[in-house]
This record gives sequence, structure tokens and C-alpha cells, in this order.
Amino acid sequence: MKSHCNDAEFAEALLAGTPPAHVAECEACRGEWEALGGAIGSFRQAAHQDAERPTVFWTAQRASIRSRMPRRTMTAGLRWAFASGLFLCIFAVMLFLPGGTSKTPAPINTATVTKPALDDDALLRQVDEAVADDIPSAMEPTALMASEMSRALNTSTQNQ
Amino acid sequence: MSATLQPAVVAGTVNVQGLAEEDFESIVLTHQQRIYRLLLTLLRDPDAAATLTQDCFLRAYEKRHTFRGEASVGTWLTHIAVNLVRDHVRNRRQGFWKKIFQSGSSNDEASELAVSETVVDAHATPEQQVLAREQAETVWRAVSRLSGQQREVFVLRFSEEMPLEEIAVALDVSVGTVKSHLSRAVAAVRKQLKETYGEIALQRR
Repeated sequence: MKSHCNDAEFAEALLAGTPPAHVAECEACRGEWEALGGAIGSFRQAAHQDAERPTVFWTAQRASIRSRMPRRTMTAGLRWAFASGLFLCIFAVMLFLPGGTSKTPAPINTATVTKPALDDDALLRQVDEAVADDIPSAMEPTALMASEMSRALNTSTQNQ
Repeated sequence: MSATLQPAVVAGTVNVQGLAEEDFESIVLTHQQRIYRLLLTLLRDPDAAATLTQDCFLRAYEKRHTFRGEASVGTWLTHIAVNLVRDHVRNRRQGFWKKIFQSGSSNDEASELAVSETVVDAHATPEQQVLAREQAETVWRAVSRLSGQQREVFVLRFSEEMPLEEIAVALDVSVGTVKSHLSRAVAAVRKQLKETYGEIALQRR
């Protein structure tokens, strides 16, 4: 006669859902098989019954999950479609509105300003005069100020 | 979230690349009770189970694009739930040691591990109900002494009745490992039954 069932045999039998063959001929193993199966069955039933909740609990759970979800954003495809549509609308408005881009732009005046040309002799005369001056024209204000200051100084010396 | 969901996707009988956002409410509706039950059985803490159920679906929602359809949606959610349980237990253990150092003792673990006073079978006689409750408590006592992974395997197989292959995928282990854990778990339950009822009484039951 085969020895009693071991743990592995009981585990295999529990997974298969059928008792080990040995159980049929061994009262001890049959008792243990029934106790084990019964206990595990009770465990399963208790687990399922413990987790039973009223409908309102599940509804509240779903609402809570929904509220904790990050806000929905547009998918990339939708974003591109939206942007393209917007661009087309703006383009159409600019194209067809009076005073929009359809108006012909004002012609650009390309005429150039012409200065009266000085003749060469006059220009040479101007250069000669500038060179002949004691004080260059750019220094005239400074020279004026210096002369004023020296005159004022002379006046005050004479008064003393 | 639309009503035009794809039942095959939600049930996990079809392979998809990522989950559509629109299907998500239907997925929650389909799986929330099972996920809550699994979490409650593993943790014995209704508040934690409720919070982690929400966390499980939120994590799944965040990672919905990574779902490759190699496993069913149910198995994928189970994988997420088990990981959340592991994190929770790790944090609780840290909290437990903090409490020990602060107050010297804690009965939280024991109270959380106690099997509820739920009547197991409403149609059973009071005597049968008491016996069934005792048996469930005995099994839970044995299961609570197992390692985390052995307990997960036992609960997924005998409470959730998941096939071995799905358990292996959900826990990221081989089928051989699942079988080995189950064998150890059954041995622990046998031992506990013998301790509780005595060998002879057990054989007569």
C-alpha cells in the first residue's frame, strides 16, 4: 500500500481540482483531503464575502478615480488639426476682408533725390577759403569763447 | 469616457498596443471589485484596500500607453495591484518599527490580520457557519506566516482562482516558482489545520 499523500501531491490535486488516487483507498488521507479542500473553500468564500460592498461604494470609487485622473489633453493629431484649421481661418479672413491683404500695395517711390552739382571751380574756391582761415570752422565756437574770456579778464584787471 | 467600448479589450481577450483613454471607465467598471477583493484579502485592511484600488487604476491610466497586450488587462492590473501591496507593506513595516520604537508595542498588525466576522454561508446552519469561519481563520493564520510572494501566489490561486500561467505573468516569476510557492503554502495550511484541530480529529472530519 502506498504511503500517505505528501504536500506536493495535495497541492497538485488542489490545482487539478480532483483528489489524489490514494485518497480512495486511505481513510486518513481522505479525511485530510476533505478538511483541506473545505478549509480553502471557506477561505475563498470568506474573502469574497468580505469584499462585498453596496453599489454606492463602487460608484464613489469610480467617481474618486475620475476626479484624481489628470485633466484630459488633446491628442497630438487633434492639436495639429486644430492648429491647421485656425491658420486657414485666419488666412481666409485676411484674404477676403476689405482692406486686407487683397488691397494692392502702394507703389514704392523709387525716384532718387538729385542734388545740384557744384562745379569744380566753386568747390576748389571753397576749399581754398577754408584752408586760408586762421581758425577752422569747426573750432570757431571755442575760439569765440576763449576771446570772450580773455576780454573779460582784461577788463577786470584794468578796473583794479 | 464613451459607452462604445471594446469588450474584448476590456476583458483582455485581444492584444492591443496601448489602451484607449475612452475604454478606461469600462475597465474600472469591469475590474474594480476583483482588484479591491484581492487587495483586501492580501492586506486585511478595508481602508488601505479602497485607497490602493484607486491608486491601481490611476497608475494603470498613467501607464496605459505602455500596455502591450502581451497579458490580459486583468493580469496587467493584478501586476500593478501586487506591486502596490508590496510598497504598502514595506511602508507599513517601516511605520510599525517606528511605532515600536515610539510606544513599545503595537496591536495594529494583529487587528488587521484578523478575519472578519462575516457569516460565510447565509444558508448554512449556525454550527456550519461557525465551523466555516474557524476554517477560514485557520487558513488565514497559516497564510499570514508565509513569505509575501507565497501569500500572493496562494491568494491569486485559491481566492481569485487565476490560472498558474497568469499568476506567473502577474508576479513576474516562472510557472515552476508558482508551483513551488503553492506547494509550500499548502504544506503550511496542512500544518496549521493539524495544529488547530489535531491530526486524528482532522482525519475524521
